[in-house]
Amino acid sequence: MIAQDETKRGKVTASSLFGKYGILFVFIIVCVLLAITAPNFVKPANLLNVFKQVSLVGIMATGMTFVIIAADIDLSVGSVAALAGVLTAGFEVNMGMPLALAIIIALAISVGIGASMGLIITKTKVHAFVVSLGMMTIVRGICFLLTNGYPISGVSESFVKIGGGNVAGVPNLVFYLAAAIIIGYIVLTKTPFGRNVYAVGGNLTATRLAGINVDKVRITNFMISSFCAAMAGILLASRVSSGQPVASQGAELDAIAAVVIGGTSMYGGRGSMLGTLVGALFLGVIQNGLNLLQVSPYYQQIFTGSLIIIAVIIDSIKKED
Amino acid sequence: MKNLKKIVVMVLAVAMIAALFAGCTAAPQESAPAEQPAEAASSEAAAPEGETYTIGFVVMNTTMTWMQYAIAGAQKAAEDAGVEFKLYDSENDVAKQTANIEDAIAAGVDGIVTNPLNVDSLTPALIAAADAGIPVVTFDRRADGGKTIAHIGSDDVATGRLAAEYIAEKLGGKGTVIELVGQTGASPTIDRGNGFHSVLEEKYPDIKVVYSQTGDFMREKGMSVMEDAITTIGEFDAVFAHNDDMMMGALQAMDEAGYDQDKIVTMSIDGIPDALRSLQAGKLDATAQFPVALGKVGVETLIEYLKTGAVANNAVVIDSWLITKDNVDTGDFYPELSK
Repeated sequence: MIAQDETKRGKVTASSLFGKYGILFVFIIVCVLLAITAPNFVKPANLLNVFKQVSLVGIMATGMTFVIIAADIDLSVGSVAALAGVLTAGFEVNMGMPLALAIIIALAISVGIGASMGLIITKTKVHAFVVSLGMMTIVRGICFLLTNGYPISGVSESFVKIGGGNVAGVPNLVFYLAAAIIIGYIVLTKTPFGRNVYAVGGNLTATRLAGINVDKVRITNFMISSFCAAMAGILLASRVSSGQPVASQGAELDAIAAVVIGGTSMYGGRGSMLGTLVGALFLGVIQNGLNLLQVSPYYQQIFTGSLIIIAVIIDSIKKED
Repeated sequence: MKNLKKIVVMVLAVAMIAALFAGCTAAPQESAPAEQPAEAASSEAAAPEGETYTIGFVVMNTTMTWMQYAIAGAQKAAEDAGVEFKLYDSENDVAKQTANIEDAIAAGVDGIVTNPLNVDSLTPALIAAADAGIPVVTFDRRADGGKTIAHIGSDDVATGRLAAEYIAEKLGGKGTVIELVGQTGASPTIDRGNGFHSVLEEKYPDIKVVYSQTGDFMREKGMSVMEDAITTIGEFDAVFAHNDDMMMGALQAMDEAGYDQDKIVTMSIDGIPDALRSLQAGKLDATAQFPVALGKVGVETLIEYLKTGAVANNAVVIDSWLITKDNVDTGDFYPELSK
């Protein structure tokens, strides 16, 4: 065994590099093709736009990465995002709460939702897919209940500035995304908790037998995922200056797509935060590029879906190692 | 062998991607789904300094019937004026609409025409457009925040009042009404509802709205809301839908439940071809024409601003009018029916 590993480690062939960075290659190819065919693509204003547009899904995907590496899934993130936006706007507008307090309470409630999902999943052994699906519907219903279906408007300027301002020409959203990815990366790769996440996803039973509290790890993952979803939801509400009960419908699929395209396996045990970033950028770049090329929205969907499949096929080559 | 297979797959994948790109960029600018591909009219530009204007047309969706006709009219207006037309579909999502406006700004359009999904959702995006020096015209739906140079609308409050008066007259001042509400938070929904209810409250206290739910302006949802209303209420005298698409779904629901359409007064708004056909067939009682010209006038107003630096009228109101079986040939879409 050891002799074989040493040999493998010694070989840095083109194909092994490609296997490791598969999706990155595809991403770069797509960017190059877009730079050639769409004149406005490389303009700084446009590139900043792309980062802005992927930031919300990217932040959600950061949390989702933890969950998926541990072989779970969280379908509730879209609804939680909407709830966080609605709560923050509602606290500020209807209850006169100071903005900071409104945000903290909204985040806390969202983390609570994540914790309850984690508890149900670990204690009742019901699959995460089903539990988070149910929670998705419940939370969406709560959004409508709280708002009667109407958006909550009249939010303060400070609220709008959170998601809308910029620092030295770089949009705030980009900083939030960078912060999420960097913190997520550090936790995932440099902390014992991060190692446990991989272990739980790789082999649940063995990890439990090794003395790690796997339930705690999984519950924490869901709390992280809900926190990220809430953060994205508050930023979105800021971007559209209103709490929208219908916001982020389908966002969970975008977040999952970003994570999976980035190379994280749905079976758990493998994946990376940087991969998620590339996955999110990949999706954003395609959409932006197709918009610039003025491709009809119907073709866009076909194109995006095809590219996703191609990207995952390419990435699956490395699994054969 | 394994390495060779990997390389082959990679080459194939890259080839597929390149082919997709080639295919997509070769497809000419297919903007409005119902129309022929828009000709690149920029070569015959009518713009004075030899420069072509580009307009970003950011619509809330391309799936609503009314919207499709408005887009077609707007596109034609742009073509006729030799102005380039870029269509952005927001797929009924407020975040997407904000992103579309930002994309239009980054693409360097000279002006934007849009119908905001709801009155507040575009405020930050409109402020960004103003900061970038890009004039914005809203049509169909207004934006309460941000700066726009003009709004082209129809007096939705008056249309709501029109609907209430019609139903009251048909019911003889007494009866029960089911209301199918439009997308919540959208200005047509708010205004039509207000107009409708205010007339009932002021003049016809014996007419009661017994069921009021949103069908989001969509046909399928209108149908399921109507089915639920039928289950809950059972007997009613009239149905008022904020738009024709929802009413078409509702009529089907009533048909399937075995209701006698002659006994129920039905009224909706928009005047799309399906509604006009329904009028002719005697199923729908009345609709109010919501002029698709709003899109066209929106584009024309923006072009006027781009060429002259000012608009003659920054609050254009195109009235809607009542269409019944008797005057169905005055509908915007009547020519469509005779095809």
